[in-house]
Amino acid sequence: MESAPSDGTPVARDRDELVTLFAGDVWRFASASVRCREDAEDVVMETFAAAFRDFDGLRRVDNQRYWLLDVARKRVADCHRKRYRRAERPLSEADSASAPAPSPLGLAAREALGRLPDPQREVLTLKYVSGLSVEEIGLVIRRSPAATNSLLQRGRKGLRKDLGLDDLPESNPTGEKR
Amino acid sequence: MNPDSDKTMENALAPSPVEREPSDELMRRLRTMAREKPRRTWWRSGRALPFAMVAGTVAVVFATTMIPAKASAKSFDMVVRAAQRINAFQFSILTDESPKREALTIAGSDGHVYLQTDGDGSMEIGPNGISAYDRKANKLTRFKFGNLVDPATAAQMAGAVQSELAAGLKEMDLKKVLEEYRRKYAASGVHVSPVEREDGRDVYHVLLASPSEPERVEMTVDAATDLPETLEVATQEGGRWKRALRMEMRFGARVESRLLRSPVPAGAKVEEIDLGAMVGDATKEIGKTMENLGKQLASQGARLKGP
Repeated sequence: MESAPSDGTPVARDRDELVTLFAGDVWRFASASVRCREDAEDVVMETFAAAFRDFDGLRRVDNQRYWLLDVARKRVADCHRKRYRRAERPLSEADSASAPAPSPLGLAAREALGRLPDPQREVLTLKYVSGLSVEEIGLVIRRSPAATNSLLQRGRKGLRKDLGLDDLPESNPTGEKR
Repeated sequence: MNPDSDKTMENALAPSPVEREPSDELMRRLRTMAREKPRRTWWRSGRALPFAMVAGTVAVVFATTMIPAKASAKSFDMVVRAAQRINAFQFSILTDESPKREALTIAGSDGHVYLQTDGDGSMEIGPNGISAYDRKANKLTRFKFGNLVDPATAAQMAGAVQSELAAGLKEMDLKKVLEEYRRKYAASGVHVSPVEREDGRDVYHVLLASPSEPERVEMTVDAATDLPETLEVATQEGGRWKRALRMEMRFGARVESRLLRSPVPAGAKVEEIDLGAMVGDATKEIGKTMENLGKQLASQGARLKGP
């Protein structure tokens, strides 16, 4: 395995290694972003299918992890569209990818996250589930750090409001750790 | 971000044990897929271009000599002709343009067209009127083309109200779009692949691209019917192709039946408006609704046809 010079993210030399290195990352992002396990698995499969279709091209990208997360977030957005179109089909609790829920707050947070606009949901998931920094998120979603930070601020504000956590001190727009 | 607030957010969104790692079954499926022979899209040839050309020639020769005519010598004209025979269709359209993605599903059969937009509701257009359903208000508004006036006047009234909508639908007409493509790319920009087996079915690919055009169109076509299944329009951005629109299509019996009926729940409020009996300003409000939907359709159609 070689290491990318920029940030030390490992580079997969073959398709099997790509699965070994990044399936966990893509899975965590997908399962935190959609409500059904089946949907999360579809997102992961479609993301890797896209990667395998042009693996030679993927070898040349700066960061395979960011590339995969970028594809995954697009597949998640597709999934939300489809979900909307078949929204009349009720979702059972057993369908939930997040079961067992970590806590009532965690469950409420996931519900609230799903109600946020796509870009805000994506950046919050990339930050708090995937553990990326603001700069890294910006690379995934192809926005400047300032624009990414702004999305994060708005996402957090929306989530706090939805969860009734407004009593927490307001975030500092310029104090985001990057 | 305040550290306390950040920590709360982190705790709230922390992955549950189920979410931390993919299941063994998913990993097994991924590894199986990783070991499958890669299936490159035929026109992304790169270093494999000479091989692809030889293989393509062999395939064409094989097709013309060994395979019944139906499966050989596919052309874009066949796609255009097949589109003229469509009697039931379903288009699912997704645009990737920022700042937001837009999705629209259109299905039609027997003179009825059903539209579902991204979030506001749905609409049915038929020979006798238009029904618009507002999901948020759970309200169905039926616009009838008129019983109180003679058919010619009703048609005229309906035409006036529908004009924007009709213009939008016209832009979305697949037959017209394909004819437009043929005109635009006829000189040198139409590339048709040999028939190949994908996911258990015979398909071929059509690439419409020309150095003089800023966009390109890729289609996957069902070899049995010559009807397109997917259509993607990509535009150039900074020297790279970026997908601007993807359309998935189904025709005939493959159209999802749920899309060919009204999605309105039984308990929805219903309001009926007779367009034939309306005059003056009253039609303007309805016209606005049609205009908005028409503009959305026209915008999708314009993206489909490219700059």
